[in-house]
Amino acid sequence: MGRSLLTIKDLHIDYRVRGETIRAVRGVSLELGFGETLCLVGESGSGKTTLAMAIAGALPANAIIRSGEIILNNVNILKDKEHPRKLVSLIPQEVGSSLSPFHTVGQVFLDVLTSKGVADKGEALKIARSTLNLVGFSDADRVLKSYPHELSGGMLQRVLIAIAISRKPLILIADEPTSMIDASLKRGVVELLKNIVLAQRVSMIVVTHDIALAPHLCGRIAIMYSGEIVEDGLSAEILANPMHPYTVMLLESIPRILSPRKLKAIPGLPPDPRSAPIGCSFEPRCPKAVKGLCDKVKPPLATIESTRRVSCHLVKGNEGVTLDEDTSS
Amino acid sequence: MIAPALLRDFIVFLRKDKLGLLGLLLISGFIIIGIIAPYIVPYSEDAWGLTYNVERRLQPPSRAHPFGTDEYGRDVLSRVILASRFSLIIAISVVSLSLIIGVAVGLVAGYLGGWIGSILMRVTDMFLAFPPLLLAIAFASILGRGLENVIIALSLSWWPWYARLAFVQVSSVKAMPYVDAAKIAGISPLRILTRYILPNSLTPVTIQAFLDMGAAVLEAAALSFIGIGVKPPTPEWGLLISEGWILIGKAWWISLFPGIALFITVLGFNLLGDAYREYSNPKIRRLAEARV
Amino acid sequence: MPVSPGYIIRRLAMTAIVVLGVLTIVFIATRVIPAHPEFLWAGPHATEEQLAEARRTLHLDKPLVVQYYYFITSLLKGDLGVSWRTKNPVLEDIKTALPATLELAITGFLIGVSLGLPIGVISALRYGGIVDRLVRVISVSGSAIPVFWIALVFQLVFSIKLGILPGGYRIDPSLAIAYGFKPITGFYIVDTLIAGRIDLFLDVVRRLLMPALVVSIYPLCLTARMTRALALETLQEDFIRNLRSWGLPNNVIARRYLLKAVAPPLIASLGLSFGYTLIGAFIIEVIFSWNGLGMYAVLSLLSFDYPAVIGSIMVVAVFYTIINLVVDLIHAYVDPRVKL
Repeated sequence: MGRSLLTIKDLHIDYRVRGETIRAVRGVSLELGFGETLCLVGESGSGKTTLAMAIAGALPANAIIRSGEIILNNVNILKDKEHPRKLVSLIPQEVGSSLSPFHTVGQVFLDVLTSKGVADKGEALKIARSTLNLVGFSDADRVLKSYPHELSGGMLQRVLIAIAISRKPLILIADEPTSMIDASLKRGVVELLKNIVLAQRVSMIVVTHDIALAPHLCGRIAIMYSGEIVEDGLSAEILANPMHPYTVMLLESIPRILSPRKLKAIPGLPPDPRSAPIGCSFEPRCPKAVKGLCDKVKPPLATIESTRRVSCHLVKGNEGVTLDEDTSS
Repeated sequence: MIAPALLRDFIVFLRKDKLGLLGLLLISGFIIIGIIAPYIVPYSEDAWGLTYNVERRLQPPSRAHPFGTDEYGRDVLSRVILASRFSLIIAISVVSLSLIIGVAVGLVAGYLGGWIGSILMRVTDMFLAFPPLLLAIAFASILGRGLENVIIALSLSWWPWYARLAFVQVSSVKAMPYVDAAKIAGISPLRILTRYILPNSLTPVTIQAFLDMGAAVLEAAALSFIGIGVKPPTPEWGLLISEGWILIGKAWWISLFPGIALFITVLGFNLLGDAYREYSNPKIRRLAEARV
Repeated sequence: MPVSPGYIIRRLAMTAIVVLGVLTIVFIATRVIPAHPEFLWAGPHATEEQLAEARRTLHLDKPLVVQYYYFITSLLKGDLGVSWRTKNPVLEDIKTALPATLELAITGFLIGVSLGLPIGVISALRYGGIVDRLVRVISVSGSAIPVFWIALVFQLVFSIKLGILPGGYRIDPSLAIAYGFKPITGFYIVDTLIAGRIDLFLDVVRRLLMPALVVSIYPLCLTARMTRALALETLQEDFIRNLRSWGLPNNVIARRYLLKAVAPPLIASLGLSFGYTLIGAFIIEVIFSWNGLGMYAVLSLLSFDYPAVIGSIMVVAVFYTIINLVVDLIHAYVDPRVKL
């Protein structure tokens, strides 16, 4: 793995909503190296977005980091008062509301690049132009003079990517980059992000609910369920050999156009985020759950081989959990 | 006509908003005192302005007269207490009357839509083009002094606000998908009106009207202060303040205490109104809930 | 963000229609509803021939439509009738009185808004803290204070009991006579400077201080409350979160992005709040013996001088409508999303 750029140790993050506490992230630990790409995959409420926002320094006001560490470039950013936002850049999901309606793209670029004396106006303008060209705009000046409501959704997304990378961060965080755009444009965004990672030599964390996207974009995948990582490892390996029952069912629920089969959904619902279940959080929906073990004892996130971690009692050695119904790999 | 769910929800929210609770307390105090006023005034005849006691004139606050006496020797405390009743009457009357007229206009305009609605709303806008209170002053000056005239003048200048509110509410509810669904299901228009449209659109207007009672009290007091409101010797806070105005240097108590009473009453409505504003704004409400 | 001429023309046409509607309402209220409008017009002490004269002036023998026609045309000629109290044409009286009111109302309004804005922003940035809770209480209380009562209290405390500020009048009458002071614009602050008399100027400012402060209470509280609410809403917007995550410091976000986002809706409500401020200023004039339109209108009211009262009301209503038009135009200019 090399020297680690980002290390997260046992992070717990809560939200306070309507006077109640929602436990969004429950003890997550992971590492990200230089130049690595990681996909956080999970359904709504899995905690993946909260985790990413914590790294990006973009948590909302009602979020509380209860315990744990986030070590970025050897600096524990939770101990410091100021999150060193210089090192991490967010590419937000909601494109329409992502920029101030009262300012042009150029004004935002200027403010972002000249803040804290990073660059002066002239340099900032040059950087802005070149990054806009990088993301595919031929007429950068026109974009700089535009207001957000004058640009299309696809254009806005590319502008956001440009702003993010113009800051020369160490880590890019892309929040659901493909979920808000048309299918025909998805490939373009994926290609763009891949090229940027290669050319700019940044690390990237992608948050997505679409596991089919992961292998195209990221070298590693971390699958989150109910605030915890249940499995992580290299993308190719996970797709070839999923081990955690949830991962297996996720892969099986991807519809296949060319060799159609019965659609498989995962029955049941994720657990209530307000409570803290005793055993494995996936147990109520797991077809292989062992009563007496899985519902009473929480499985630890164990390292299997050097590149895989799985949190399941039934995973031993090299083998994943097989399910009774026909599993096509 | 009021959706009980919204009310219950608001009350739950209120439990955590101390200022809103204080407002509710003050309002309750005002209403209760207004109702029982004639029975709790220490000097009943003074309160109604029926006496003239030269010996007791212009006495500063004392144990016998905690708020002092005025130019006619009347006990100011009694006058202030009884005045609350008249303010209560005015507030309830003005708000009810303008609500009825305004909602009628806004409902018809919103439900029927089309050119009838446009014309009704244009006329409403003409009324709204006047600065606040100016119309009331105009009507009051033509009608003359008196309790009923104050109520009429204020109602005539207030109804456009509710008309506009009701119009906006009814228009937006009418466009809701569940109304279309009801129409397709074949439910009669009258039933749609009474069961779906009215409760959902009138609740915010009615709540607003209740909270506006404070403003009604204040405007009536302003009219009375200028001299085109309530007729003396009827006790009304604005009138009492103006009675003490000329003597402000020598007998400050005559103007001061009615003003304090007026302020506390309006404050109560304002506090509750502010709490309601925070409650009905989802973004700010989220902040409030996250805090506690 | 240039404002297209088409938009301006459309708004002007709308305003003209509204003004016509306003005048029509006044017409209906003063000619149609009362049984004998000539009594209103000529005053309670009118003689029989004065009443007959009034009937002729008002064309009461002609059909309503004709009366309306004369009503509108005489207004356009600037004829608002004659105040039988001052014996002057009403328009002249109003022209003399208006600058005094504007001087008071605008000064108070500006003080209130320029203090209320930063207070609201700071309060929002420190949501939940002591400052915020204090601001919330004070701004809600401030808008509950009866304006005529607090003016009396101020006068009582500062003028009568403490004697540090003059209790009334725009200018010291003896000084004004001594120096032969003649108002040019009607705005004494300006006029005393034009005349070069610094001592007169200081006197005027001293006398303006207390009433202006009382006038400023309402706009201050309203602005603080609105700004706080708008700022709280804006702070939760995605784009603020994004800017923060991209490294912009809080003060840059507050100054450049928060204010710009809060300005359009704030400006939109400025017209209404100025309306309340203006009416408040009228009442405050009465207490501080300020010779403005409010004083004039109230004196006319109490002496049943209807031409003066109705004239004042019409002028104020039309003025208010124009203010709202200007506010709308400013709002359209400031908010790039408004389609013109």
